[in-house]
Amino acid sequence: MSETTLLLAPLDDGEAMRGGQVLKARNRSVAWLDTAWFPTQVSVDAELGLDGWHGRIVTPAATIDLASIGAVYYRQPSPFELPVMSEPERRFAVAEARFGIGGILASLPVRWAPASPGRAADAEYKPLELAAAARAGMSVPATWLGNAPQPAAAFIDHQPNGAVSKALIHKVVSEQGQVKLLYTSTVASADIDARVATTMHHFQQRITAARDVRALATATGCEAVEITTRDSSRPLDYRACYDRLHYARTTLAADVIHRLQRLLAALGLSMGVVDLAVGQEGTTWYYEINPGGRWAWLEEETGAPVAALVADIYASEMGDDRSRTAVAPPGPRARRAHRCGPHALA
Amino acid sequence: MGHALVSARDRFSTGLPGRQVPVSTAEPTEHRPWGMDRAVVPLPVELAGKHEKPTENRAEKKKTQYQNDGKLETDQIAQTSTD
Repeated sequence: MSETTLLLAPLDDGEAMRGGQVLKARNRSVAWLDTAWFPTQVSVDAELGLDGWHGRIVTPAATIDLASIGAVYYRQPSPFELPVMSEPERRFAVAEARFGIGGILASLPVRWAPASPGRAADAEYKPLELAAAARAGMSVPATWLGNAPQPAAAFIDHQPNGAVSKALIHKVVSEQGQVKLLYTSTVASADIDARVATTMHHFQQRITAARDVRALATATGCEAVEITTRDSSRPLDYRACYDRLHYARTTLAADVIHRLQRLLAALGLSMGVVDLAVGQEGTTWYYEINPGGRWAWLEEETGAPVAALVADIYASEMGDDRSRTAVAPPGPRARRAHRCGPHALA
Repeated sequence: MGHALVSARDRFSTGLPGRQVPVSTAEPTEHRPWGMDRAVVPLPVELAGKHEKPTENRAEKKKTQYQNDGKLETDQIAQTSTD
């Protein structure tokens, strides 16, 4: 039976599309599955054997034998789309679907990119990844987390170049009939008030960046793109000014790549999209790693062969690695996997 | 409000074309977290390549159904779509 790479992603996902195209060009079998198709367009038929789950997933386009799946590219599949149900019915159906389909896929002895859903979700805990990055030797800006207003103000005052505010994970605010986004923004100690006590807040040393860099790193390689503006401005957050951005391929120093690869290993990721900044003094600063971060538009803009680098993850033959990547240990995100969120399986 | 269809990460915070972000009409409370006031209305992202990017957001009403004491009723929800 030929080995299939499962693209666990929405059909319009640019990253999965590009990765799939490279895999097909290398004569590898590719199948799509978006969790939004379950249960109305997808059926699952699986039975436990002595060596694991056997059976099939039937999608609108294909019948996927579980035994044929050799690798999974996990690209933010959509939430399950259920028929009209009451809220209790929907909660039940979503939890059963998530743990059922997610559990079957997580049990398969396959390669995951960037990682199985539980492990990828764990890596999105900002405090966890920042600590792992610091231990891997990356230059991480001075960072404060907490809900104590006075220490927060003191931290901000102690940053010689100023401080910034960032959200830990929740970057969309939908209220009062409007959708807003949270970008990195400057903050002064005078801005801090008692409402910091209402939840965790995240403040960081402000980096005066000469250029931002987004890189996709794997255990065997790294493709990096520098992001600057076409004018002389240096935005704090390039997401706030896409209309002025300029992209160019760049390279990272070998020791930076080595540290990124140590970070990937520590987080159990086979790949990661990393946001960095090169400071005016030449330091390469680490901002964050996104296991499911976007890179397709950077390939379009620069021609950097990012999809090929992703496809390389599947290049080596299945061997002992399969058993090492089969099941992620349950981390904090996996343990609260019954909650709703953008990831159908995380 | 239904479950969020938002990808809260990186480039397309309001999702790729065709995705919907349910819009809440909830008002701020006296216990509003400090960090939420840093949110700003996003600028549209221009179409930039073959795999298509959201170019603009538009608000629209969508019919929905819900159970009220076992009785199926219909209502409308507001959501933002990306084109």
